[in-house]
Amino acid sequence: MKSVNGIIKNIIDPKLKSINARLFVTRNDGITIYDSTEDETTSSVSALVSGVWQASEALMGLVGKNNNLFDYRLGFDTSSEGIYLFSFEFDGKSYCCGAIYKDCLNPGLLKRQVMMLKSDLETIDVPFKKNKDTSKRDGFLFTDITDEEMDNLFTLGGK
Amino acid sequence: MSFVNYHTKEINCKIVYYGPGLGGKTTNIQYIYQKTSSNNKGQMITLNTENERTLFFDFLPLDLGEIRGFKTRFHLYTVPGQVFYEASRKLILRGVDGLVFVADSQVERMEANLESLNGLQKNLLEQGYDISKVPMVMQWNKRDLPNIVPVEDLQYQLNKLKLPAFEAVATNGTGVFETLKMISKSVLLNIKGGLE
Repeated sequence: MKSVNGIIKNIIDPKLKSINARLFVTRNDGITIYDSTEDETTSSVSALVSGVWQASEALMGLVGKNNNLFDYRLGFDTSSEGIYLFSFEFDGKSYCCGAIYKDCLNPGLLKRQVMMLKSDLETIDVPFKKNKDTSKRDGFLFTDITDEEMDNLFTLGGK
Repeated sequence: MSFVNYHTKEINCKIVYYGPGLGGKTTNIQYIYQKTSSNNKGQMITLNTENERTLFFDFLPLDLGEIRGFKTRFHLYTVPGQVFYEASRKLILRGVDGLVFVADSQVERMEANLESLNGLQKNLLEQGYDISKVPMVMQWNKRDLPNIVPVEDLQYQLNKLKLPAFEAVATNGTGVFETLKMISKSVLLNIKGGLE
C-alpha cells in the first residue's frame, strides 16, 4: 500500500525537470503532503497556502455563483515571479497544489504546465487502497503516555 | 484532524490558541518560539495589522522529537481575537486537533472571555465538532495583574467542562509550557489509531 504522500510525489517529481518552480501540495488544514524544496520554510509555506486558499474560498462563497470551488485558480504574480494555486480532489479529500516561481521568462507556459498537473492528480490510477487490516489500528494510537515521556519530548524542544 | 503517516512514522497535529482580543495568545506562541531550540522549530509566521494585532493568524511549527517511534510535529496557530474577525477564526478552526483557550484574568475582560468561549462553541458546532469532545486546556492568563478575577470564579464561569486549567503570565513564560505540554498530551492521546 502506498501513502498519499508517496503517490503524489511519484506524480510530481518527474515534472520537476520541465517545470522550473517550487511545487507543493498541502492538505486543507495546512499539513504538507509534498514540497519539491523541502527546507525550514516548508511548514510555513503550507500553512500560508492553506490560509490563502481557504480565505479565497470563503470569499467566493460570499460573492460567487460558481459552487464548484475546484474550478478556481489563484494567482499572485508579476510578469516574472509569483504564486499560482489550484485545488484538487483525491480519495474524497481536497488538497491545494501550487507553484512558486521567480525569474520566469514565460509565466503563461509555466501556469499551463502547472494546471496540467491538476488532471494528473485528479486521475491518479495508481492502486490506492486503504489498508484492509485495520484490526490492529482500531481505537487510539496511544493508550497512555506518561508525564516522563512528555517531559522528554519537550526537553528536546529546548525547554 | 491529525495526520498520521504510518510509512514515515510521523504525526502532525494542529493546536489552536483561542480567546478574546489582547488576551495573550500571540504572546504564548512568541514565548514558545523564543525558548525552543532552532533545531526544533520552523519559521514563525505572523500576519498582523499595522498596530501589531493579529490579522489572520500566527503560526509556529514545532518538531519536538519522537514518542514511541513516531516523530511528532505540532502546528501551533492563534486566531485573531478581535470580534469582527469571526470569519477568520472559523477558517483557522478547520481541522483542529486541540484547543487552548487563553482567558484574560482581568475583571473587566470577563464578558469578553465569555463571548469568546460562546463563539468558540458555536464555531466548532458549525464545523461538526462537539466542544466537549475536542481536547482542550484552559489558561488563566495575566495572573500578575492587580485587578484579576479569583481562579475559583474563572473555573465557575468559564470551565463548566472541568478541563485542565493553568494559571499563566505569558509575558514571562509562567504556565506557557505547562499549558502546551498538557494540550499536546491530550491531543496525542486522542489520535485515532486507524489509517487517516
